[in-house]
Amino acid sequence: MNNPLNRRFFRELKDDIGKYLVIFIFLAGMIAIVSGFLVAGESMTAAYDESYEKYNVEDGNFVLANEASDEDIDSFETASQYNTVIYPNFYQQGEVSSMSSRATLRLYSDRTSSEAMNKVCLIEGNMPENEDEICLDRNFAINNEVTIGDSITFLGRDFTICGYVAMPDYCAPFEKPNETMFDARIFGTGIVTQDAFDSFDDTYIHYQYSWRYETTPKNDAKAKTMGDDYLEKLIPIVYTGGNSLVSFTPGYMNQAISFPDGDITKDQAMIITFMYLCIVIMAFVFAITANSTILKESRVIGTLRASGYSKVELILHYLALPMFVVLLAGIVGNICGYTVVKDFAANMYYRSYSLPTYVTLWNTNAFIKTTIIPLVAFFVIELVSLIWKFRFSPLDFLRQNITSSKRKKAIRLNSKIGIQSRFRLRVILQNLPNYAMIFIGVFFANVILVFGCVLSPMLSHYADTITSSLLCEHQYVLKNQVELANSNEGSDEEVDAERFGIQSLIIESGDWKEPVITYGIVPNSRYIDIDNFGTDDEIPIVSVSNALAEKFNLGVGDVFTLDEEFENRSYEFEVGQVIDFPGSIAIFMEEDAFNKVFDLEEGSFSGYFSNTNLVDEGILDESNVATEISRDDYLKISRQLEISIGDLMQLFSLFGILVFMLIVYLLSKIVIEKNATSISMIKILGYRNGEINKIYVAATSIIVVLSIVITVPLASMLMSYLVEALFMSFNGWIPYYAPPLLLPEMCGIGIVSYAVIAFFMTLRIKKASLSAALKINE
Amino acid sequence: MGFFVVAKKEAIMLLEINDIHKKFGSGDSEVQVLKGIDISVEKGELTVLLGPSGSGKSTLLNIIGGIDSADYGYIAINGERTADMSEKALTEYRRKHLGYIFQQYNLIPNLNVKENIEVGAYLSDNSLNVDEVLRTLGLYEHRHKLPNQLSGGQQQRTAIGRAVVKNPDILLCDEPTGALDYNTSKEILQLIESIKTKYGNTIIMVTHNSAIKNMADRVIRLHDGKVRENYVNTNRVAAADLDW
Repeated sequence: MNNPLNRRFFRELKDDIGKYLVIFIFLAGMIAIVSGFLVAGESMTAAYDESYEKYNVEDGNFVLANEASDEDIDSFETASQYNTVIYPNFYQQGEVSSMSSRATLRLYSDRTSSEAMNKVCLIEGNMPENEDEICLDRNFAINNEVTIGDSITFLGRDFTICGYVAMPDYCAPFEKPNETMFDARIFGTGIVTQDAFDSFDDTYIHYQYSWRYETTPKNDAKAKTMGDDYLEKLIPIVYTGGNSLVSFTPGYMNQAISFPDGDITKDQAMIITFMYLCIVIMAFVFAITANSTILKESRVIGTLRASGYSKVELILHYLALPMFVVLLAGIVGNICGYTVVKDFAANMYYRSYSLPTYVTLWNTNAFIKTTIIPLVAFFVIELVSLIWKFRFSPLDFLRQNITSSKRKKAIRLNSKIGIQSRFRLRVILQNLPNYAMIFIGVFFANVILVFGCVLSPMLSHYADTITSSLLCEHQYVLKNQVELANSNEGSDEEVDAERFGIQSLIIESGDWKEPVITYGIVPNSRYIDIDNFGTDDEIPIVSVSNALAEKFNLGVGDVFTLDEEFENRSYEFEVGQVIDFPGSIAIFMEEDAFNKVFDLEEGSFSGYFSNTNLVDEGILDESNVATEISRDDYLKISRQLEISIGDLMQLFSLFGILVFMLIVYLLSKIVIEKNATSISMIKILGYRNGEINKIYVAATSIIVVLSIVITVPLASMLMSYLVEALFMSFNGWIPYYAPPLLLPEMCGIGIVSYAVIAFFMTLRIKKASLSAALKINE
Repeated sequence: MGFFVVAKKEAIMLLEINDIHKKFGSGDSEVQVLKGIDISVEKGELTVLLGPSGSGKSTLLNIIGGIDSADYGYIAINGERTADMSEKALTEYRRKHLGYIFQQYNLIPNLNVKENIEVGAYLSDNSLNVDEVLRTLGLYEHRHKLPNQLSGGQQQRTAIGRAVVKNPDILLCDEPTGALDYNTSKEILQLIESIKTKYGNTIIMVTHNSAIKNMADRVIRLHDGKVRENYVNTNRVAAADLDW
């Protein structure tokens, strides 16, 4: 005979459809999101990994000041013990106009030959065939609102856009490999025919050479060893040949290639962490609802146990329905994940990165993480919870003596408190465990909600702060030390410019290495006010930006070490002052001290600060400019983050609200159900529904509102630590900021969400049966 | 001329209760509920356990049913002692030998009458026919109704059906009429009597209603944790003729 208890399965589901539907939607949603992101991420990562061979991606590149001879190229290829193949990958770089805003374009000739490295992936349209045709990086084109068929002007020449490409050496459009962040709107890449490329003069050309090893390094550590060796061998050959090395970027350091993979991996880690957090929340909810069900059916369970049903039979019975819901949610969630959410996630990445096209791969790893692990986790948690609950004897179940609370006497309440208030207080005291769970659940929900709500204002605030504390509108880093036309040292009467020295060093913190810009500032600078600590100290005393100080926990008096990037040299500095400069990880010292530290001649400098566009004004020849750092460069990180994860944050916000409503709904429902007999009794006595609401719904409302008000700032505090930990692995520093109105707004969201639930609770009370109290002898 | 010898039917001892002691609480709040109970119950007997509130009759029933344990002494059914049994063995013991009827019917609210009875049938290897039990209980036409569609008497009959369908050696009834009105109570008692007649169950019924003892084969009166009276009722009255 089949167990007749099994017939309860779908009836239980139907009777409590509200509860199971909410749990199902939450779980399926969570699994869909996680599954979709994992599938998209891993499919794209697979395509990205394949692209190394498919598109012959470089293992590194270096830029020379001048074109190398063929003999030198041969020497380059055999310089290192790890033989390399060199491919000239020259580019032209300049401003492109007829776009929606100012933008810089790095233009390459088409890489169609068989030995070409970094071959391009045509996304849409055609490769250029004529001299007036150009293919643009897809994101660059979209961000600048130009499409196939439009015309753009680059270095004075008009081109018609004939297609979109993804270039594997510019998956993320970093103009420089060690930049803090890229901005796909103000920098991009493109392809023209070789003839078109050759028709430009040499003013804007950059002699970049890409290389590939004969044997690809197995990991970054090996790549570093090989890269260091290659650099060491390369330098003498370059300089012996009368050339100079402008930059050397081994593949593992080239963020333009490696950033997306790292970002996708980080996103996946974040999504999985989010999923595990949701599992904890749901397991918690499952345990609470199972507890409530057992309590409600306590006498039935006692009778069944007394009749001879074993613990195992009953545990399996109560386990079956929740597991069915979880399994169904897993199936539906995966289907949605592989379809809708996967496309959403992929589009998110495509909006940020120029990745090759991908094919959706069945992802066993994603299935295990999003379905098997949650299923097993819920099974184990539910099983343990039920085993724990079924520890009581059949007699205890019959007597409904199955709570752990040992308190037998009621807490005395002052009789001066009105009876309704005392009744309400008793409801709170009687349901303390459930209300404690509401508090914890609301806290979880608010953590997710804060995470979703805080990022956008945080980035806006960062952008505002940057803007208000800029050194100047333009920093020109020179190729060579040149005087300005009509320049007058230190005077702002004739030209708005001030010289500075600059070096790029590295600060290490554990495994993390971050570039630190080191500035040498003229005395009495009009652009930045720093203390003059002199040049006599054994350990030079410097001013540090607050970004550096906050990120690496430095204070006045602290000594820290910076290293040369390519050479084996370190410098110790002491913090003498922290200045308000959030836009950069930087240190500042007076010009004389700077030149002394770096063994430079007195009066040496590397660039100019100016609030004027010196190039446009004809004061500085563009050919002398190695790099220009402007306001846009400081805003890149916040802009790109907004694009990359803005949509994800909205998802988090929505999820936070759903988690909140789920937990509060389920737990409030339990409180009402637990008190069903009492509610029925006071209805019989003559209490009106409104009066009953003032007792039972109000009790829950007090707890929920208090939970919201207390946990929102707690969640914000927790989030400040989490966000700062998150940004430790980005170049640059965005301090945590919650706008003053954000916390009250979140409280408002919580209270409004709860108001919806409270309304349903009042309906439940209205429907409560009068006969419930009459049938049961208490 | 031959003669016939009519053999007297031998009484079969089914349940032996030996020197049962049970206390609750500890220290100043310790209460000795059972103070050495010795009872034997024969197969097929209807035994009424009578006594005022607090006399220990429900406690004794729970110990017989294996859902509570004695501090001292033992219960044996067909020679099998429950005191030596593990929890798993006790579950099997209840499954095989006992049927339980409670004052509060404790039906499963989302199973209908027939299904609630099948819950009991499922436990037994030689259960009675469910439809037959339904007819015996007068519930056949109500078999598709849910408990909340039944009267108190009908619910109690369903609970009786759930216990009886197992075809248990012993039927334990803890105040089966406690929640019912007079007429319904008599209906239930008549039902219990007819089940005993039809299926031959051994029944132990706890009640505080003294009138019910008149339908019993054996009456055991408890007072203050001890057996005060234990006698065979030679003036049996049919359940229909009970009056209180």
